Amino acid sequence: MRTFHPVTRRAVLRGLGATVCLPLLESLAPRGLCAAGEAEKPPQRLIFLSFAWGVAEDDWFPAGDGPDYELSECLQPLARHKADFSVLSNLTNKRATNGHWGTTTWLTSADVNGVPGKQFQNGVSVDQVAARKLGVATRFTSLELSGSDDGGGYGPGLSLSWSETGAPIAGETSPVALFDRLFGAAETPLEEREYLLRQERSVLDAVLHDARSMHRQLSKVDREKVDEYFQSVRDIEVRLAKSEEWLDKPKPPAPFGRPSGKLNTSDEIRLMYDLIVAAIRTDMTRVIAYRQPVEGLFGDLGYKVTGHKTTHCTKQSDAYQASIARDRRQLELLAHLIDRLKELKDPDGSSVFDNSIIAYGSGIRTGHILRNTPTLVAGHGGGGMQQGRHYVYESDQTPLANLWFSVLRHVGVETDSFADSEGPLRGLFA
Amino acid sequence: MIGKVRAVASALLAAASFFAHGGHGYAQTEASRVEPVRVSSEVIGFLHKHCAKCHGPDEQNGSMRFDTTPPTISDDTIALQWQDILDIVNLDRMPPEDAQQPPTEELSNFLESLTHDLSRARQALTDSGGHVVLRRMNRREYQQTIKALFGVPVEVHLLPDDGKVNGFDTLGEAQGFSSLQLERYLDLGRKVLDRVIVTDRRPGSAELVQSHSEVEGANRKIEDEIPKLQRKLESNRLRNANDELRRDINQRELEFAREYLARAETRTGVVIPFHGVNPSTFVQMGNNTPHGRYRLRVRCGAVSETPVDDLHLRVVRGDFRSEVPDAVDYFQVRGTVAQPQTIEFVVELDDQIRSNRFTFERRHKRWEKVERLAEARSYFFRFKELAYLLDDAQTNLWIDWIETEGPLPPSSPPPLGRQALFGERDPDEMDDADAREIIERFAYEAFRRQRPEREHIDSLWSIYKASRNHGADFETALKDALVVVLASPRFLFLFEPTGEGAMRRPLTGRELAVRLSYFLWSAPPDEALYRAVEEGALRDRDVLARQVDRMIEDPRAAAFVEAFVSQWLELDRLDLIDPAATSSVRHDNAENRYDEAVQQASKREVFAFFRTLLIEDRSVADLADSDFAVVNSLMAQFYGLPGVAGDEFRKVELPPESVRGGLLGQSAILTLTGTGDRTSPVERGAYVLRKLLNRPPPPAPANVPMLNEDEVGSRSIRETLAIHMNTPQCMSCHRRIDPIGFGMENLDPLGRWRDEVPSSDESAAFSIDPRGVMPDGKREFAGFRELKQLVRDDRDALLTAWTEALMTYGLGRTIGFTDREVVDRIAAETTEADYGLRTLVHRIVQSEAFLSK
Repeated sequence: MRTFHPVTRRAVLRGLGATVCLPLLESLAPRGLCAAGEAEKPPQRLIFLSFAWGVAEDDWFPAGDGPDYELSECLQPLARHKADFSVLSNLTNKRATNGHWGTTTWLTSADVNGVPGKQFQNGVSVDQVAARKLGVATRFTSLELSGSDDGGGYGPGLSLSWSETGAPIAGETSPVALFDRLFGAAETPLEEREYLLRQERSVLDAVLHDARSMHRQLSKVDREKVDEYFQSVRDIEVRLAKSEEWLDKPKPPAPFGRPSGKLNTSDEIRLMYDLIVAAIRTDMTRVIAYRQPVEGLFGDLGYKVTGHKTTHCTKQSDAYQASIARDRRQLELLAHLIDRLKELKDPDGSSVFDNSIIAYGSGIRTGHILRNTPTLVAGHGGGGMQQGRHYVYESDQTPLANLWFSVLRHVGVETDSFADSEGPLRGLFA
Repeated sequence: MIGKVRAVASALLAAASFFAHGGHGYAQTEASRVEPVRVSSEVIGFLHKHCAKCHGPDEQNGSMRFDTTPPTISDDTIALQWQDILDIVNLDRMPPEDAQQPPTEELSNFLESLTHDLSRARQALTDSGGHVVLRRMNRREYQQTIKALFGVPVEVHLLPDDGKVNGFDTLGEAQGFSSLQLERYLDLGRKVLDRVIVTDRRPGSAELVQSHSEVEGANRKIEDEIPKLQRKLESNRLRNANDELRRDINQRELEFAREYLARAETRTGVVIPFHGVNPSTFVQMGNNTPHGRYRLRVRCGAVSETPVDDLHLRVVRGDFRSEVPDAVDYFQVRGTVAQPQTIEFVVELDDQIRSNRFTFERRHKRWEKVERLAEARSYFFRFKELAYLLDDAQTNLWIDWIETEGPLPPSSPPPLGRQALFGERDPDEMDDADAREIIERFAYEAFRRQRPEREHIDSLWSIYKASRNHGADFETALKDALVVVLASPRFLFLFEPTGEGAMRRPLTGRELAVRLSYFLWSAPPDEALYRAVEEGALRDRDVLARQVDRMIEDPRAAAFVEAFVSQWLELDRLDLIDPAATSSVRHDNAENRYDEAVQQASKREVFAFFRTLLIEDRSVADLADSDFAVVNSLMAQFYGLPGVAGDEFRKVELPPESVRGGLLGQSAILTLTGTGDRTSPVERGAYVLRKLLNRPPPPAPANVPMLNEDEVGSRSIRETLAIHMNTPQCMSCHRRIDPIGFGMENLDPLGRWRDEVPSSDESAAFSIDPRGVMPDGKREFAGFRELKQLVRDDRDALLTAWTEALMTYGLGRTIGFTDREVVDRIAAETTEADYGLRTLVHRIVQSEAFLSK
């Protein structure tokens, strides 16, 4: 059961308004992590955003193609950014077979039935693969975020992200907890932090003793579960190792006050976006995947429908109107995120938006339709992308994994393929 | 073309899965024990007849050739080939338009058979070979375990969600483990130990009875309002129509307040609600109140000469500014002002987790309407509403006083409470050796009486020591070490070492006790169960049976009943239905409206019904239809069953013509399959096939457009769904699903009887034609009662479905092909004992599958 702290929404929003100017990004990186030559070129960032229940099919996908395509009704809120994003039609996760899973394989493009003896086995998600490269120099290798409401529709998973072994990675669901993770505990004296770090290491040593002794007494199948435990310990070790590198670098001051109080879903998403911007502004991470809440948006917009209902409705119904309103609200929020990323400047004067790729979409078109799913890519990825178009790929059998493969190559990950990719995506990545 | 794409895809698949799994190659050998599924001859025949001409030895249009597609689905690649064929036909892309089309019935049978074959093949390919995968405690079990060990609550919602398979949260194969999870276990463990070691330092103070003066305070506030209202009336200058309305409202309010205070009942208590006066009645326990269990007593009655039936006290736990309360409960009020009654209940206080504020209200609030109209910001409407309140026909609730008592002493001291850790000694005088002894004892108990490894204790002790050296006092340093125990794998996982050479082995007594207690209590074994282990007797059939009986009858078994029933029967779907948005709001008056109280009680009804079958060892056939219902006053009123008073659920015999018998007669089940506003015959039909008839229809095929049930407009649902029978793609499944749903149409979206159905635009009403045929295509039914009887006749199928569900939950793994024999044996033994549900649980526990690793 939750406890609610009686703070008004206004107080939260007031907190957000008070944005302080921070020093430029480059001054925050620990010495030695940025090679001299590299400092010239601003880092690339990846942001992945996805959600359940698909979109209002007939009013989301735009008409026409190429640079002169027409924005659909749902895409209108992005009008001011039209030159800076593209809509990709006919992309499909071809091996997806479950018409109720909105996000499970969106970033993995995996065949979850592909392993004998297992009911379900996902693959690694593209953000995790990218983070192995982009996450080296930052305090957090990557950030995984989820929504706080549980309207369902996502399918298995705890966020968009899946580990190397295809295990679900839990997403941070609370903006407040995320704020604390990013900016909390800044005042603890150095000596105390060193002690805490040592103690944390001892804690890991202790649980590892126990895990190892268990591991010896288990069959291979069972060991897999303990392996996941080991992996979680290793992940914390990596974080601790990073903390050590960053130990004499104080955490940057928070750009706004610690949020509190009860948020509606729109506020929650906006706050998560602002925290994403804050994390990038302070170069705490360069890879973020966020599984967004949807269910609460209907309430915010004054509709009494469920997400599930909006995927099984007629075009004349209230539920369909609700899904248009939801799509527009989601894209208003995305437009806000883009605004903020455009305001943010990298050391060379380009904007953070210029150096980012934002992939936005869902694994479901609407209903149980898994083909030609909504996909939108914004940002210029540090150059070399041709934005401002509607790319219509042939048939609805172009693997979505082609996009993930292209993204990986664009940020310099050396790989020949990703999941069921058949090659790079033409057009968008010139 | 499709074939080519697939070839590329499968080549990449191999690379991709290697990449993803780092080469664990052992799974194949595990699964090879299961016979692969062969595609049925009907399917092969169809392909030969209709497809082979273009996709056979002579021609291979689109590089597709079916005579070489292996008929035995022995691996995923073959399954994908068959899936492609199914998809193409489902999407109506083949046979091509200019070719001769197969007859509807034949195509439909082909689709049904191939869908069925593929889903069986998937099951076979993913069969875990009867192996129980190591699993960790899920959130519920973690919470119950913390409570059992320490007697304190924990903020379990901070843990990431548990993965689920088929709705069950006990399956190791669905569970992940991440660094966030580990960090949260450490955080939560610290909070738990803070409660145990620090907060509980104030030992159980003498029992504390407090009477709460808020009740009188509420009336004083109304008294204080009177002069204010008088002043307003005197100073109000009438400039426009609004001012006049405002004056009238104030005038009314003044009258109400005076009338209220003049009543005899308000001399000692409060009356709620009273026209426009709404004295607030709440109890706010201070933040310094010691944590623990408290008893709340409310003396109350109806403002009426004689007892009434439909008066309920609503108790809301939660901060008043929060829209979503922490908890809500309802109590029937049978007393009167002359003969009051005292309602009692126990709550657990911990202000970190739940609000300590309790508000007392009448169930039916008139305020709902006032609030809604207030949004219109029109004085006129509010004024009309106030006038309406004057005619409040419902009985008012009188609360005389409210009293709290506590903290109550725990029924038995928790095995790892402060007392158990330190005894009578002062921790400040304890030394390093004591710390080591406590750590060891603590870990032993937390690990469900497994000896911790020496190395593990050493490393825990060194955490304690480092903390001491850093300047921490004894308790803090000890806590630093104990927190780690609560994040160690031996605590978090239900650990059962593998046998020699990975062979099956019998569980040890201790392991069996743990499996059993997590099955029936979602918690660790208690002292009595551990004692049976120590006496070496638990594996004895009679001893085991006695323990199972004891555990089923123990209140802790509620954890099993509620979790299993909610998960298997998908009761969570009820939470998506907002009582305020149901058809009942438009059509019913307050007395028989479907509201939060009914919804909550309807869920409890399902638990109580299941528990009755379990305790009384009644036949599982009663799940389909029974001659009794298990209800309390709220549900009895909702169903129109006379003569039931009080909040307790009890067994009530049903008259022969009643529709209430079995799960299908229960509001919760009938409601969760719809939208609250309309029924869905498809959802209802599919639900009956899954939960009772053991013929789960395959999931809706991806990429096939759906028929929307709200396309009904002014047509009847039966007319609309008839489209399902026109297309073979739909018909292949829906001919078994829809008729059952039609047979249930006489039960409205909330589970009440109706004779006609309004069209979705409410412009017309249709009489109901509930006739239909069972999925076997043979047995016909004339309506709902006959349908239930026929489902009851299929009790063997029902028994199999419930056996598999119970085993899945209890063993924590999917029940697959390899388990067929075990399931059949358990079912046969249960059949001999008249299908008794309690017998079924016994047979499962006594089965090889449960008794061995």
